Amino acid sequence: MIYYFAEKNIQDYNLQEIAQIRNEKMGFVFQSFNLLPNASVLENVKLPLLYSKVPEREWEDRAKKAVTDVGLEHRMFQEAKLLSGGEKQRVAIARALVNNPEVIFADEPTGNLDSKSGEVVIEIIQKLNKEKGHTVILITHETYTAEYAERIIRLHDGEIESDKKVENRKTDGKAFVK
Amino acid sequence: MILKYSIKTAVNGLKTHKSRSALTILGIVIGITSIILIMSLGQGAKDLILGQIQGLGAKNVVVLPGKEPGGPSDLASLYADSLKERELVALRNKNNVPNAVRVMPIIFGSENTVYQNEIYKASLFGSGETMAILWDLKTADGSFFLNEDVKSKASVVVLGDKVKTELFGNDQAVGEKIRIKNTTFRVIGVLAAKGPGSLIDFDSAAIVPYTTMQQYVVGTKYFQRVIVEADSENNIEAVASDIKKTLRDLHNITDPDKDDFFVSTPAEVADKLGTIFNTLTIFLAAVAAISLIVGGVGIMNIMLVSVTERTKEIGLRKALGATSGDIQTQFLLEAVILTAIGGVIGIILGSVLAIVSSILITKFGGLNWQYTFPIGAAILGLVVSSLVGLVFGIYPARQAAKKSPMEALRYE
Repeated sequence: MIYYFAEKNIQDYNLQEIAQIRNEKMGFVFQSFNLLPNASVLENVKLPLLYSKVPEREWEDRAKKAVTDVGLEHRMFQEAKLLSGGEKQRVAIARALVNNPEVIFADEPTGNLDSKSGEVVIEIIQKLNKEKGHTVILITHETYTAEYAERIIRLHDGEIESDKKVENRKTDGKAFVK
Repeated sequence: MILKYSIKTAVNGLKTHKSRSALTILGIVIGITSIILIMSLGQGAKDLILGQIQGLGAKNVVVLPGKEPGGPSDLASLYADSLKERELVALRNKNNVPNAVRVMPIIFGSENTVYQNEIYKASLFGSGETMAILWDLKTADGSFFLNEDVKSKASVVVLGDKVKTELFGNDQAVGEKIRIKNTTFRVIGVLAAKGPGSLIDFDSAAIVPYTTMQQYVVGTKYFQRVIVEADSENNIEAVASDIKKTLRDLHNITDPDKDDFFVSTPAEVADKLGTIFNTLTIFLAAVAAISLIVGGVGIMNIMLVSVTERTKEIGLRKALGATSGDIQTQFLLEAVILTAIGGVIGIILGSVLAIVSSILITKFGGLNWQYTFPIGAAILGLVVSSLVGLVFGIYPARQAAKKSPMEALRYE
């Protein structure tokens, strides 16, 4: 199987280029958040910028804006380990979008959250897509979470089973619940 | 990644595990501490000894009989009888050695001094009346012998403080008679105590005129040393070469390799002793340096544990765009910063211990010990400890950099 990224065989990229693609083109949101527990919210969000070509003077503003975008400006300087699960995932989302990636991969972002926090997280992700124009590829088992999407690709044992547009995309007005 | 942030990241990594970091650098701290302490004490001991050589006469040129010993197999005593009264007279001649102020012969041995039922084995010196001036010997009681005593082979003796105490206790010694090798000597003076740390132990010495010693004690006519005092330190080399020329003329020697005497200047002695001390200090420091290797292995161990423990963090950083180089730099910097901190702590600790030692030595040893901060050793210690971090940190850092982000993120 050959995989392509930006019309180029993945095998033809060197490690340096792959690291750069991860940094600039993709954002990741994990099921288990993967924050640095002892770093502050702002430092966690800044992390991708450390490895980027973005000039240092822009880091602070960019990171602050991303934190604000997920509605956590009041938690800016708190250590990540002190946050609730929902808040942690929102920090992770801010981290994923701070570098303006072309696509954000969210692997079961609500899997470790209770339904209420999960809802907040999913609404933020939808807002990023609808209002900011970010492409989000979200992996989930739950149909009710999937219904927030514009398009659902159903996989079964690695094979595409169906690929369809969602008729009545689920939305909720109160996305930014603090 | 900008270096500033690499360092910041590394420091944060260390801060997260404070107690572990502290334990890790213990080996380095101990190693650097001992090196600094040894270097500092070595320097102090060297200064002390060299100071004493200066104290024994920076202007004194020593003439010894025989060849300069080149090694243990050399028979230094081959011409042991090459310095006699004749040589003494020649050296005292102002035409031969114009810059000489005093010329003093010495013979020495070890003899029992006996007073009534008390016996004490003293170092017996036979010398001239100038010995007191040359070596700054003060009498606590009585006086030193005079030139007349030397000329008349008078049976008089000046006792060191310890000899006096051993033989007489607190009683008056001056005026009493003691026996040395079947000859009766009259005690005419007692030296003031010099205390420990003197290069020659005058406290356990008994000093008699050299003529008397030759006649009644050793029964030979030659000297073991002739000490020539130059009029100034600048003329020492001139005096040394004048002495050589005089003695060669006297002994009809044309080839300097066949000299039956040799001349040693304070600078030479200081130079030789300095070399010995430096070698010894470096040897001891090298032994201490072994602990640095042990410390380095400790660092490597902990770093490997740390890398395994932080697999997830490594995976995350890579997922966010860190290159293998970034990860390697981070862990290498952690190791180097750790050991450098250990080095600094070691330097401070070593210096403090050296200061405390110098105070204790001065207070309880009665020595004039000077503390010196071994600046060279401190710089070396810092460089070496950082190098230890670099050398022993590279393997764990490579292990960290090698991890695949996908595998690493999945690691539990």
